[in-house]
Amino acid sequence: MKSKHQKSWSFIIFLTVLFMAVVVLFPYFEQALWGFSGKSALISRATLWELTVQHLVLVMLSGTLSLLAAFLLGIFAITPAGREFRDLLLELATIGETFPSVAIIALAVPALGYGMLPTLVALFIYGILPILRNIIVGIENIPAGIVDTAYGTGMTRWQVLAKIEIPLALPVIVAGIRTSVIINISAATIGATVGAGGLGVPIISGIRTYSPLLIIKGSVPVALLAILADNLLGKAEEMLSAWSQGA
Amino acid sequence: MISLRNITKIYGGRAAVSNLSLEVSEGELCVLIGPSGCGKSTTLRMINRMVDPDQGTVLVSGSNVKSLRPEALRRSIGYVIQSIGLFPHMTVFENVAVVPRLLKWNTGRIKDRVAELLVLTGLEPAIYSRRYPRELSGGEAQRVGVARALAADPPVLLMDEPFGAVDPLTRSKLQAEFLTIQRRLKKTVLFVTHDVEEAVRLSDKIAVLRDGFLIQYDVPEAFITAPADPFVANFLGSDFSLKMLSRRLVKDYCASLSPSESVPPLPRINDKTTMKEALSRFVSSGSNRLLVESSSGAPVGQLELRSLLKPFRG
Ligand SMILES: Nc1ncnc2c1ncn2[C@@H]1O[C@H](COP(=O)(O)OP(=O)(O)OP(=O)(O)O)[C@@H](O)[C@H]1O
Ligand SMILES: [Mg+2]
Repeated sequence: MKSKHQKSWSFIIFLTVLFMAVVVLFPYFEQALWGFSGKSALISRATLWELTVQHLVLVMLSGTLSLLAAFLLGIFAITPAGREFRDLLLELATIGETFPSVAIIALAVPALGYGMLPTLVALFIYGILPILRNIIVGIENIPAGIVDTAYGTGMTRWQVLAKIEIPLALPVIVAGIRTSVIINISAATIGATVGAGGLGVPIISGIRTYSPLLIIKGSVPVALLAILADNLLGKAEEMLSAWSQGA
Repeated sequence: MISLRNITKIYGGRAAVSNLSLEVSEGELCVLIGPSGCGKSTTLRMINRMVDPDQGTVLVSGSNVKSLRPEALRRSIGYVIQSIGLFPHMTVFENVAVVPRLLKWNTGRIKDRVAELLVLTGLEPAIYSRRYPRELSGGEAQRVGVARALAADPPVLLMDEPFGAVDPLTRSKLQAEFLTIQRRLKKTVLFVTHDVEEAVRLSDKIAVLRDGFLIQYDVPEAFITAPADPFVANFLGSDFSLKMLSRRLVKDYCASLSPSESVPPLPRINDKTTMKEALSRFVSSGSNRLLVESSSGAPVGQLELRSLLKPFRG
């Protein structure tokens, strides 16, 4: 699970600064441009900063809920009682990933109406899958001898889980979180079509009005955010992987 | 101390262990030996309830293990397996401290105990306490495995090929050290191995298994004088009696020199070496007498070739 190139802190800091700079400075750039072409009326009401916050709230809120749900489902799946659901859950996770998130959002709208809720629900469900799969696989791939001796020392099921299995599977679990977050940062843009706000708003209106600048206004921060999350969680994964191997 | 009474374990319609009965007395080291898949590990694991038998009872210190909570039982039984299973995210200290921590000892007591065990198993605490398993050699890892099993001073030890994964020289060293520890601590040990030499060296008694059945259970000498059947004789090998010589020490067989006699010019051998090594010395020197000397080099007696022929009694 270890990535080939080491993630560097300086690149992560650079990305953060770049992202902040884009979000803060883009409106000035835009104003200058619109002012010149006289189309300022088209600027969306929410500022880019507000859209970014909305976007982050969507991703983080759904992500936290996905993580909780994935843990509950994952831990259930590796119990003797959950064994028969294990294959089903893994299969669901694989199918789910090939299922477009647009479709999930579209399906959620009739049930939950417009706004943030259907998007949150869609991102939540979508985000569970990679984490769940990595929890199951990560725990199952721990060498049998380690788990065997853990029980042999007299640990209970929960102690084995908390002291041995979860710590040792953590790098793999974080890799799942990483995939989940990156997918959802881009999937959250679609939320704009159903009124959830976020960085998808300028992209969608840019498509409607054939305005490349608006599309860039939304997509550049989304792309930067995805790269930043990828590097940050990649770094976490690297550090945890070193830690769980004793370093 | 450990009694297995007619235990049977069935996997997929096949008996991995069949109607097996075995008694290990307190302070004894019993070696389970037999071909791969004969049920050694399964037998061992039924004692600490890693596996529950389909039939029969297991008693440890007089109580039926079925009546005990598996976790409580396991905390009172040391367990070492071939892959050792050190926890890679914990230091040597934390690995050894696992059971004391589960038993909620206070930190001072745990610290003292871990240091004591590392010294006992030949690991300098100042050097090794803070190392991680990946920073240990195979032999060092095995020592930590033994230290961890001994941590809470359990009366019973279960060891499943604990020295299986190291080179012969390291293994021999680990065996010698373990024997020293065992003579001091007098644990009741059930020890699984494939290696006849290891069985001969460590055991008070040997149990030979085949296809889940206990074929013969006796003191090692009995296997020379009265092997139960051709399978046992064959499995232990035609050089079994030579291996048995490694249980005897030169100092127990040497004849003292008369005070008047001058020191004869003979090949020398240390009094703490085994009779097996003495045999090798006889062969290599071509002499039928050896001069036995103490570690300081002082002559203590002489060893006759025919002393090798002293019979083994079962
Ligand atoms: N959990 C299990 N499920 C199914 N079969 C098993 C299980 N554990 C052991 N067996 C079978 O039971 C038999 C005895 O296994 P066991 O591990 O006790 O042998 P062993 O004597 O320890 O062998 P080795 O020397 O190779 O370690 C084997 O045929 C093995 O395949
Ligand atoms: Mg085995």
